[in-house]
Amino acid sequence: MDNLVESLGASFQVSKTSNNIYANHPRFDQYKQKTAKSSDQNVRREKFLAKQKERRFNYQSHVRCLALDEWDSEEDDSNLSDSEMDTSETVQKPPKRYKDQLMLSEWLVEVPSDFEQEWVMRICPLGRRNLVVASRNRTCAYSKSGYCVNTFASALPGGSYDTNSGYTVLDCVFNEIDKTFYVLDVMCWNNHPMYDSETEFRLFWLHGKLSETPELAELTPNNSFKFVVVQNYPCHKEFISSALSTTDIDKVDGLLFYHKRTHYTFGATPLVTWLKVHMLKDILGIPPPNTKHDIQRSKLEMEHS
Amino acid sequence: MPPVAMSITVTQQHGQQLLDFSQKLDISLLDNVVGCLYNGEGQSQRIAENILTALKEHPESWTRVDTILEYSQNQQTKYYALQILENVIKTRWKVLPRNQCDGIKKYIVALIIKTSSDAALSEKEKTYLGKLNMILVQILKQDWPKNWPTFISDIVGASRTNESLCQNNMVILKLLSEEVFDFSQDQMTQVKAKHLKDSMCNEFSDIFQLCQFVMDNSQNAPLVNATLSTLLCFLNWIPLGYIFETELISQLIYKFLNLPMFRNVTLKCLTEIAGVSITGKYDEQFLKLFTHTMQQLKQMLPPTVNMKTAYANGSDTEQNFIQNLALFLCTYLKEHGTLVEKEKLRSNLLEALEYLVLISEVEETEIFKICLEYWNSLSADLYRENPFSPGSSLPISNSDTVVPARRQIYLPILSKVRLVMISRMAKPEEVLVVENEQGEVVREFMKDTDSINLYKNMRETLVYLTHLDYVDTERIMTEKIHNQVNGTEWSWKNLNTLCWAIGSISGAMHEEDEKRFLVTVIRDLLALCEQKRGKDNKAIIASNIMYVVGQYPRFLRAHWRFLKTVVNKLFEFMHETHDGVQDMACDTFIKIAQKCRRHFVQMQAGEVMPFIEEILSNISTIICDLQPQQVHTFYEAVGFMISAQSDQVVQEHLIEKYMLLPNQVWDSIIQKATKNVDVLKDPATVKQLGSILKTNVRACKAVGHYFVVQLGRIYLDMLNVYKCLSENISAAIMQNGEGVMKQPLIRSMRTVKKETLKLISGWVSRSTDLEMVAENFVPPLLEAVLLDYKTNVPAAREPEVLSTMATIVNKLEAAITKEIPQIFDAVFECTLEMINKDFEEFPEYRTNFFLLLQAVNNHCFPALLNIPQPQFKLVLDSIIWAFKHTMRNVAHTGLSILYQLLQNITMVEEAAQSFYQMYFTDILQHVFSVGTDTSHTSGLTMHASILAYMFSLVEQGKITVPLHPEQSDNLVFVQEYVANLLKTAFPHMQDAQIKLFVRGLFSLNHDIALFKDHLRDFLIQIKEFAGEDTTDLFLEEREQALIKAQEEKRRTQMAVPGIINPHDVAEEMQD
Repeated sequence: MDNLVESLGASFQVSKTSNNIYANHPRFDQYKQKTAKSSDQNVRREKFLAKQKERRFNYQSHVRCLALDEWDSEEDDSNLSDSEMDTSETVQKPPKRYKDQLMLSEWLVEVPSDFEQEWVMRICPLGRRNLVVASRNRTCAYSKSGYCVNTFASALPGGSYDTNSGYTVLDCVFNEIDKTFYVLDVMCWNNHPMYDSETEFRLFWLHGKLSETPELAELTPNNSFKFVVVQNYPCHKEFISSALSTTDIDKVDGLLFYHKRTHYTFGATPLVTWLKVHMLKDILGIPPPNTKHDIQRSKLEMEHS
Repeated sequence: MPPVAMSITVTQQHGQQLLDFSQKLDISLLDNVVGCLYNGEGQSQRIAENILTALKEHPESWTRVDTILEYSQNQQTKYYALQILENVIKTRWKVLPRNQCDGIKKYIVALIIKTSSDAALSEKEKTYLGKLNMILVQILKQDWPKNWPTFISDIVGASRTNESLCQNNMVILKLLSEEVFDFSQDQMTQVKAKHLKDSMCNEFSDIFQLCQFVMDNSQNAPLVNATLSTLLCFLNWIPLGYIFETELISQLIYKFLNLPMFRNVTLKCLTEIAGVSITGKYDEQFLKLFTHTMQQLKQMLPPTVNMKTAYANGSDTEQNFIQNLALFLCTYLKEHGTLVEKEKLRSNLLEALEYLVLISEVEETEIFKICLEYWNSLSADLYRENPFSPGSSLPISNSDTVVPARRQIYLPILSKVRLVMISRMAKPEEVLVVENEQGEVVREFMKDTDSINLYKNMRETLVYLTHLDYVDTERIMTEKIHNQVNGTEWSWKNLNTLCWAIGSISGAMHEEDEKRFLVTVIRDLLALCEQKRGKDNKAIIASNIMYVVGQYPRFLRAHWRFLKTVVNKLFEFMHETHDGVQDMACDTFIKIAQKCRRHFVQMQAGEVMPFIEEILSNISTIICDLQPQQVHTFYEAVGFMISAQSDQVVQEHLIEKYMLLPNQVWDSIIQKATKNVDVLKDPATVKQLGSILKTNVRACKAVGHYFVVQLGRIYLDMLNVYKCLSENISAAIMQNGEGVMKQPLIRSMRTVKKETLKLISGWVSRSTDLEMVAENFVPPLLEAVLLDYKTNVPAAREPEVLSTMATIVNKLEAAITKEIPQIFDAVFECTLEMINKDFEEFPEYRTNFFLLLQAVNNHCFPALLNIPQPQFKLVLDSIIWAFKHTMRNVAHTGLSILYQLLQNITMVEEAAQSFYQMYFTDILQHVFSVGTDTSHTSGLTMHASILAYMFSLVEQGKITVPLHPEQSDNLVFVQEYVANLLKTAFPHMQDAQIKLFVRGLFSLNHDIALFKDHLRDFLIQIKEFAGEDTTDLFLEEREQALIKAQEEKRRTQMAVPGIINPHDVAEEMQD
């Protein structure tokens, strides 16, 4: 019975993902992960970075597909790539249609040696992860699985009748209560694809463009939701601590760590990693900010481990 | 243009000419008109059709039939003439002078003899002859035996003269048998049907000798075939002596069964005989029937034959033969199986069962269903004989279990049957993706389709088979899983089928055995999932694992750590983007939540808090990738868990946490709307409101009464939003017309209104504190909803307002009586105004309106009494209007309201008398008018009950006021009134018939069943003249019988562990 519970809990998956953030963090998990691969997160990072240089796709045409909802008719392609997706080692091709378009994280299991130099930290707010596509005078938000959640007007290039030129693709977290899209990443701004740019450049561009467009931060008939960029911080303990101390922890889902050199890829990657706030102490040695809620949760996880 | 116009006028003139019965009939002209009907086009064709219809309906038209048949050159014209004749015979025969009838009869007989005596001619004029035969049978139904006592001897005598004639006579006898024995119950009064049956039985020996003669002597294949078909028709009613005390059976088996051209009809005859249910007297013959047939069959079909391929590649007749064989074997074994269980016959029995197993593999559902029915009855029978499984792991029975002797005979076969059931288990339920009225895509579970019935029967059979030998079931299933893992049987379809089978026997094994079995199954499936590459494969396997797990709630409840891991895995799958996985995860989650709810709110060993707390803490993360309707399902599932918390304080705390997310969004919208109400015109906001309310509806459905803390929190704001949106919709319609209703924004606004009402009525119907409902929830609701309904344009009214009011009345009963005038004032007239123009428009309002009226009548009758006279008349008119509907549910509601109203009013003496005086005869008249209308036959029982009640009121002198100013005796008055009413409505009825009927209305009104038979016989008499179809008159009885049989069945089933799907068992019995 115990074995059964363990294999059900640990290795039973549909998409093969290492360090799946919707399963328990391996460090806190009561069952030992059997897959050997997932433990060498550092090795996989190097492979990803190396492969990223080899593979080049025509992102310009991919962005056009997203913006115009016109896709190549080679439907079978998705089946071909299916077997590749099994091995999370390869850089995936751009998927057809709106699902699986987002770059997703793994648990931060092994802290890389160059963590402080080569990584940036973001505080990820609570909400739903959406792909936002602004084109042809309207803006659409899609869930991870490609379901069109909402269609509205936004001040993004291409997103409303007032801003009807070009098209824009963003990676956001949507918070229903604040009516706000917290922008994590930019894949295309005003026709210019950014997939094969490195994190630092994408974020620089994102900050710049959003500050050039202040109407995005306000609710108007032409901008139904606010667009606010998620700040980035260096991965030093003190920066992380101070960033957290000035944030309302109850509105935080977790922390994202981006490798500075990663391109924007599809699906989970070891080059973007994820921690819940209460895990900071165990993984990074950073004392957690004090909230009642969190202490309780941390205690729970500890007892499980 | 002119020539066309001319030809039309000419045709119309033709019509006048044809319909002028003072002139001689112009046959060639008629031929032209008929030709025009069949070959013409456009307007002239329409005119031709009108002429011919008019001619057919003319009371004299039948006098022309003989001329037409004799002189017409056109086959179609002759056919037309025969239709006229058939019409006359069916409806006016009794009113024709006797000599005319005899004339027609002789004429038709002569015509049939002439046509059928010549084999070539009768083949050529097959359709024409068929019609003539049919007409003869119609005459027989009227005249035989009274006016034609020698018919049987006539036809038998004539048959011996000529083979071709004989063949046609066989057809006539077959038709007659069908009319009298198979279709009679709907078309003849009970007395008449019995009389005809008796006559036919009495004279059967002549017919039988004729058949015997043909079978003995004729070399004419078509004649023999016709004879066998006719015999087949007779077999289900002839006196048994003809079957069992003659050489019939061996003649069929030895002479005809092995001839390919006769084998299908012969096998059908044998099946008919096998189905005779009588024990003892003819056992010897039944044994011969079986052994001899088997002997022949073995020569025709080697026992090694691959039935599946034979069927797939076979011709139509070969396929029919396999189906007939299945029918024969199943029928025989079901009726007389025990006879052939004797030692010396056992080899025959086993061979027969082997055939049946082979046929069960044929890939044709209809044939499989035949076999399934037998396997089901066999396994149920063997189980009931000895309901304890052998070899169970209970220590007592383990030591020396003796397999009952009878069961031993069947063991090897049953193992094969198990394999068949497991290999082709049907799909348990269908999920349909449909779009609802508001344009939203929703998923619906299909219930009660054909395939679900198939699943139920297979499931039941497999459960019995498992009880008979669970080790064998387990062995087969385990083996088949291994074949999935080792690839020999791997396919999506096979895996699904296998897992449906595994899921179907939940509860049939002892708990310990079930546990051991499940652990192996799940372990193997997990290994399979790991072994297969590709997300498609893994997703299929994953949903099968979850299906199996969800089918075994008993196992889940007994193993907390396993249950928790499953649920966590489902949460993980709720983020999986592969097609269908999220849906699967949500469906499984709600299934498990329902069946294991208590375990999530209890403190489990090794945990620091109940699992529900963990779920609620992480709810935003868990649902963040789900689509809206999946989120609603998720909330309902969690609601089930919360409903299991019996400590009210803890429960309130859970509900608060549970609704935190939707409430935060709700509050922020309400806050903004308070500042600027135009927020409620923003599409995104309205959509959010709809979604939040849907979440509340589903949550309330699961949590039940204690959802009141949440409902109270949003109640007043919600009603304000309702009013505001309703005004917005009205304004939009005023401004832009009703077309605006199709706009997405207006549709989402209506969704908000509908969901609001749904939430309130959902909660009210589940509430346990009526005082709270009445005092705190009803007044603001009425205030917000009623005036809005009344003043709105019709299109913007929600029919759910009516159903919500009905729910409240049904729940609060008399306590709401004082509010009824207010409710009626707002909804009654304006709704009636919408639905009194016709019987179709606004169907939902219609249904709900009458349901509300019914609720008020049932529970708040004093409120109805207090309505001022003109309004009360309106109420009564609307009830009468209701039962005149052909929409069955509306008519039925109307009748029940009326019946209840009549009973209610009797209790209030004073009001009753003035009610009778004013409305009694009116009501009587209206009920008779629907009672005698064929489109209302489904309401016959209610009609009978109401009429019986009304007549008994008169008879017992309950009506003390005179119903008519000039007739002081109400009894006499009502008798005369009814007789008059009927006489006027059905002038063709004779006074004696009506008098008899009216007398019956009084004498039988104490017994509804007799009263109803009486009414039905009268209806048949009416229709006999009118010539209308009477098929539906027994419909209701058949439905009733079916429902009753179903209930009976379920009662016996409840006693067998595992026979009821764990998800169909009522809640109290589980968890």
